[in-house]
Amino acid sequence: MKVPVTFGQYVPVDSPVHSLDAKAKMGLVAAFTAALFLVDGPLGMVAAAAVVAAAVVLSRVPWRIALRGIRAVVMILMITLAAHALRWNPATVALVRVGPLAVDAAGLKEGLFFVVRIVLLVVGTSLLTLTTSPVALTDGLERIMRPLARVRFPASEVAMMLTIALRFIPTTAQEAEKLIVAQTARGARFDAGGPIARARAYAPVLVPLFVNLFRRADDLATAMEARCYRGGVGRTRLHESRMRPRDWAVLCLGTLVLALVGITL
Amino acid sequence: MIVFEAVSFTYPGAARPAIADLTLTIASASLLAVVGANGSGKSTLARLADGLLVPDSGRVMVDGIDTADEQRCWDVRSRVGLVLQNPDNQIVGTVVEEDVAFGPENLGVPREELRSRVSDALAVVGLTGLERREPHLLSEGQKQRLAIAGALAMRPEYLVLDEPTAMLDQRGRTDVLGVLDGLKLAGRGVVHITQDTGEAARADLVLALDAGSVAYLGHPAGLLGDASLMAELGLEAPPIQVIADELRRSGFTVPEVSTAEELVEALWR
Repeated sequence: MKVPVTFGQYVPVDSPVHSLDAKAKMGLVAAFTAALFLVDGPLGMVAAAAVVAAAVVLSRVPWRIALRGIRAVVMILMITLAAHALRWNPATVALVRVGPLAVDAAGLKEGLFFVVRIVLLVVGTSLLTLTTSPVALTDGLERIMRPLARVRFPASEVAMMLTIALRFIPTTAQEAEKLIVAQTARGARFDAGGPIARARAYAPVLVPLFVNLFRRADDLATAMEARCYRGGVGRTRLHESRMRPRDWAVLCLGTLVLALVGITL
Repeated sequence: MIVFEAVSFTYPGAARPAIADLTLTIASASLLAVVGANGSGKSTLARLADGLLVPDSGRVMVDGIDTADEQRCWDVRSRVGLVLQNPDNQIVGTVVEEDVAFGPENLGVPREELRSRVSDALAVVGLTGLERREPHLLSEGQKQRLAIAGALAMRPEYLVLDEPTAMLDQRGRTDVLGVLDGLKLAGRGVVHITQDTGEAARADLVLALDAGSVAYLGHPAGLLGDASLMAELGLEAPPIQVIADELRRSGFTVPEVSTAEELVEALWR
């Protein structure tokens, strides 16, 4: 078993979308989501789909990966479609009829509208995590959340927690790998039996993994205290991503276009 | 100077003190090794020197600042760098340079200076060029040197290392020990806690702890040459001592030595 060096969904290629500041991308995703829910006709959906398609092409993320997120929502899509399209004894002309259950054109159209909306939402928003490294994403989040510090929301601390989580994912994965090897050497089997038996087989891996995580947390707390960590107040940052003119331009123009699509179509 | 004045410390709920009536002076530009069996109070000593723990009685003064003074605890911690045994558990940053910057960031050092502090610290430990590397892709020895760089970036006067080589292979060990020697030459006070008496032999002064009290404080040769004291403290003699003992048994006159160089020198005479 190999521990992936890059984790999450990030596709590390060079593209105009990748080089866009994380904060600008988050702003655009918010605007896109709003526009998608304001759109109330098929023409608007086509426009939104065009925006998503253009963004995917620009990002150089392979279509196979860009569309992968849809798999997770297939059930939701089917339920949505069924809820809108299926009617009980409709008065209208049915396209398909099984006993009292029927599908008519209006219902089908409505159902498809919502399905397309969900698909676009998933593909559009996943583009953010596909094109932004987790570190850049965390930094961007901290910057966006910073005004919330006024209402005592611990923005910097939340960002620190995310950073530490990101830092320890590979370390924990390496440790899990070691534990799996160690337990396999003692005769544990991780590939036999049904799903429940297999899940149970992981208990001897997860228990020491968690115990070690607590030990790590203790050490890390000591190390952070020794290095004078006392929350976000008065901290400076080695790197702070700044919005360049290009980022502002893309954010403003993009929001404008999305607003037009949302309001007019 | 870090001065321990009759310091005692007992962990909450513990039956006996971890450090009992300890008096000690740690000077700049020197290397002090601390040895002792597990539970002899070595790690507690490290945390007392850094102000992470405050003595129950007696006091610890770092360059004249009492570590019990809560107003100045950050002053103390920025003067005394602490490096722990397991390098993986003390690296905070997602890439090398961000981890090195963590300490000075907490001190509120302006960004332009952060840059130079990071590159200086990385140069001292020999990790220049790996600024953008992710920590989990480093070797264990590199990780421990990264942890040292993280402490050095705070520009401390003293560096306390709690068994920094325990998890390293021979190469990583040699690299880390080389960094410690360099720090001493650069005028820092280095406290090296170790189980390895061979490493302790390199120090200017060695402190042996037994149940939280001083069992020996002086030149390394005095401890390493005293086989009965070593055995009493549960310490294993370094290979060079074993060789010296064998030579004595075979009829050679060998004085007390602590390093290979000293032994060679003695035999040449």
